[in-house]
Amino acid sequence: MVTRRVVLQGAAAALPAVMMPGVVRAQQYPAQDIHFICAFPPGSGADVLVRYFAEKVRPLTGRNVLVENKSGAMGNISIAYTARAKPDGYTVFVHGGSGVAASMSLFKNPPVDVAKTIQIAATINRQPFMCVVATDSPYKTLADLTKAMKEKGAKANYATAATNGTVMGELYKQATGIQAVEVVYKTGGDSLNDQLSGRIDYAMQDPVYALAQQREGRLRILGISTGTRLDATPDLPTMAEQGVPMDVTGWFAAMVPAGTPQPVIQQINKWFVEVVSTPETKAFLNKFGGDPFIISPDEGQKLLLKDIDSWKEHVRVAKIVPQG
Amino acid sequence: MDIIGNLTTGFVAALSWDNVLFCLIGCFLGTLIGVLPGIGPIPAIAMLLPITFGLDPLSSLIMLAGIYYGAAYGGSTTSILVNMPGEASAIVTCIDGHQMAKQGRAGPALAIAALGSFFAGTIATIFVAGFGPILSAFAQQFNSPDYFSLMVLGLVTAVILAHGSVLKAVTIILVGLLLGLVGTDVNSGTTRYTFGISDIWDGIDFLPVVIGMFGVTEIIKNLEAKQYLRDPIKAKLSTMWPTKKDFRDSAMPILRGTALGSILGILPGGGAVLSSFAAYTVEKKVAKDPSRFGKGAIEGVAGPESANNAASQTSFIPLLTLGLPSNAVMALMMGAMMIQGIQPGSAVMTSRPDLFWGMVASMWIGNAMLVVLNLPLLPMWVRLLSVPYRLLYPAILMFCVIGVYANNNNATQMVIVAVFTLFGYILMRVGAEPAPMILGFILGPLMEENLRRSLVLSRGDPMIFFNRPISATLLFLTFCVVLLIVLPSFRKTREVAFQEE
Repeated sequence: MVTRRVVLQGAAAALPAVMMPGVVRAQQYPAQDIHFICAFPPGSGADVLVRYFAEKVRPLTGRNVLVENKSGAMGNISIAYTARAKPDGYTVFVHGGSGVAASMSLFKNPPVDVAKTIQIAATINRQPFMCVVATDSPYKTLADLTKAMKEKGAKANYATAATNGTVMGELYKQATGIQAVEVVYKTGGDSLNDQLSGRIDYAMQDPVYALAQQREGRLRILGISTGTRLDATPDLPTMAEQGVPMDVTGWFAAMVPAGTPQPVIQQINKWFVEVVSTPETKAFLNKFGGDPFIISPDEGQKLLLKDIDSWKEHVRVAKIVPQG
Repeated sequence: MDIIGNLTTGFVAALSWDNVLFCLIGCFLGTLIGVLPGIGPIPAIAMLLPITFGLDPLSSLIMLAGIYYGAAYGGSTTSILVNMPGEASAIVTCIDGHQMAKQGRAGPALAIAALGSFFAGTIATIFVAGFGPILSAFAQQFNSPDYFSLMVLGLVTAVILAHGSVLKAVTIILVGLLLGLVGTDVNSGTTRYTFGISDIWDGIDFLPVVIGMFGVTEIIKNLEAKQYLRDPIKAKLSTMWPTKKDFRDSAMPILRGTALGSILGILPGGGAVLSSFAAYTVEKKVAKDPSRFGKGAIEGVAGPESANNAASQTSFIPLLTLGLPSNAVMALMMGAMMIQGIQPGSAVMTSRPDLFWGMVASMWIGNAMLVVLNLPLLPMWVRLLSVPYRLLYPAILMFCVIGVYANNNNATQMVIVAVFTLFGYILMRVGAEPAPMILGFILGPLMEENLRRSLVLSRGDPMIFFNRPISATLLFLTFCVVLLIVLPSFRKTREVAFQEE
């Protein structure tokens, strides 16, 4: 139903665009506070990342940058909110571009068609998922693990705590023909005790958890899910180079509603490029197990479209039932 | 000797002028946030996190930790005064604390809560300093089946929380369990009982539920009462401080609460929440006259308050020794450390002993500050109750609404508050208590996750729960508690029999 208010809002949105050509708008941007949308609740790892960028981008804009947590529905609430926001550059969604792409396949009725409604303004990082075993286990390489798991057959167990882990686990099983049973945990930490006691043979975990536990000497990382090695962890081999072809790469990005004027997108891109290229940010991102990742908005958009397709395939392979 | 050496390092680091100042700022802000009903420590710490970027790592952690204790402390203040728990651990404080306030004994309740917390904080600090690493090794022994059995024990003891009908208590816990199931199933990713409402895909949030069931319901209850009944919470100044008898009654509960809280706090996930519930249950069971509980028994404030403070200190152990955050606040602290370039985990102890022990020492300093800060303020808090009802309660309602909304910038949360207010009102009418339901609501999902995980691991063999010593012990304890619940009826008949003789 088109109410009077919607019409008025539409008119209000259209008005400035008519009155001022894009160039003038870009010169004036930012003319007000900028809102960073965070799809995670305060206190999660990703929330810290969003707040870090808000803090670093703030001085460059000359305006205040506010972080708004809009968590819920596995990120869908934020995706829909961003897609429906005014395309004026004052609503910037800082989130996993890969996660936004995945939403198209993970849900029966995705709230919006992200390919048409979300525009990548800047990319931030790329990060892997990691295959880990207990340090006191006899498996030193992925080949050791594969061999042992083949012998163990359906008695083997592995832990996951996120969709990426499920996909990575399934790709590994498909490539090697092992039959381990997936045990799902809420967080990587929840699975630690079970893994150390030997009930869990291996796990596909997020890099923050995996790296922390490797440093503590409890877990050993056997392979990472990205197509190529990362600067953050140059010594860690990829799954692909050990004969298990896969490229499951998470990447964070700053996103705006489609239809945001090009000059505004370029401006946001410039801010993020400046922050992402500092050594401080590199060190910060490396701690999360990822590398700084800078590509142009157009390349970013292409990557988003490509990931929408890869996730269709991932979800099919991992037999994930779309929700809704 | 080692403890003393370590603590000395810590106090030297934590007692610098800067750090004491940041500790004070943290405690003050935390108390302020905690006292405002509905506004919890998590959004506060998240908002203040960027401010700490420029600070020295130890100072920033000390300040954030101060907010955490301060908020927990302020939270008990609102629980006692206006029956409005800010977090799960403060719910039990409402049961007897608010009753005490209604009897004009808000002062003693607040004072005992403060002193009990301080004592528990002191002991827990020593505990962390002396046994942190050993304790974390113990926590590491807990596997999925053990967690399941722990949750079963927790839920069964919840029955004791309620006074009155056991049947009603069991029913209400089951309702809580069902509500806990709403949202996305961890094992299969299926959304359950969401009725297509995407806002509850991640489950029903805790805050709007307790604000509705406790806070707003309380306001409605008061509105129903006659005017002269509404304002009687006018404390006499003579009863501002606990009497000698109060101290005597509280001493043992504080000790028991401290012990329980210190141990349960170490367990990552759910331990700290269980502690205050467990302490209440223990107090009610050892009391000579359990019928006083729920009617303003000071033991019901002293035990749980000490337990939850001890647990909030020892919950740093999993973070500092295992690199595992045990709750959302700890996750934020972990984020704060990472921004500062510190990797949380046991390495902190060797690579940055000043930081590790400084934080431990700051826990004690923070607790001491809270007592110093709050005891003089106590008469002021109590006087707050003499603010006319028509001014006080609309203000409380407003803060609740702001707090719940600000948590997630989401208007659906308001609807949830309204729904649970209605539900809380119905419960009040039928004479059932909301506290056991909340415990079911929190523990239910944890219990289910661990049950299903264990059964996946054992390929469906339930013996997995009896083969492990920890799990078997916990189940045995559960059995004992069930006996305890059934026993009073035996005891009564026995007493009757004796009287007849």
